[in-house]
Amino acid sequence: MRVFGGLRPWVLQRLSALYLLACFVALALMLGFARPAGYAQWRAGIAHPLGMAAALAFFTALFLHTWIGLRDVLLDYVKPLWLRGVLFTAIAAALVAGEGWVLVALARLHGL
Amino acid sequence: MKEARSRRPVFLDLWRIRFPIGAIASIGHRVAGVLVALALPALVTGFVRSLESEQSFRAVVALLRSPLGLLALLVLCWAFGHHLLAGVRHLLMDAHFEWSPGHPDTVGRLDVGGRHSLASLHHARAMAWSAIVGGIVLGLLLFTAALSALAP
Repeated sequence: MRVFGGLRPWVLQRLSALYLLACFVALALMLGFARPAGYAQWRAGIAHPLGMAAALAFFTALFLHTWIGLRDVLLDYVKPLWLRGVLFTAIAAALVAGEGWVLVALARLHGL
Repeated sequence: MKEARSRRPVFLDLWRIRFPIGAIASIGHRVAGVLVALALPALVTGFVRSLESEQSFRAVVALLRSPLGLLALLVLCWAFGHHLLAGVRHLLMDAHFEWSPGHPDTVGRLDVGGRHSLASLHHARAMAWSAIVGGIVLGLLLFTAALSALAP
């Protein structure tokens, strides 16, 4: 897979954007009709299998979308290759760490 | 190659360059995206902390309701609203929605990949304006919704 060019990042960027857009609409509807009243309901909603799957997919799409977006910005403005490499590595590491953190937080909801 | 490059006129007087409205919508999309990306560590931390315990949940809500939290929320609401609508604009442009063959306001002939012979600058400008104004409106709506969700 070509990481820095070609059609695949472009397609992933748009697919993740569409999923995030759907999440936003769903979240707005949920907040409008049945917003969680306090911690217990918030926790229960995310701990539900559907809530966990939606939250995990949401953060995965968000991090993927962020990676492609920041990558495009750096490709445009950061010209020295070594600096690009450093920044790409730092951003990728931060996003992978974020995904891991979300996974751990979701697993902890079930005492894992 | 080098010869051609040196002859190209360069005009980078930032105070005198007028950005077309499409360029403003576009650079705004980028700035807003980078803003949300910069806020991600805080957003993920808030999400994780809000699930840990009743106490940490309250701490996150209190932080969001502090003056600095509200300011950050307002900026992020705008950034998200603009990024979303300007992103939809990009999707529509991918689908060649900005080209409106036969529109009365069409100002010139532009052959885009041979698919359309007439391009409507009017439509492109209207879309850019919609993204900019709509982004502000959506941002304020989101902020209001967030305020009511955060109310005790």
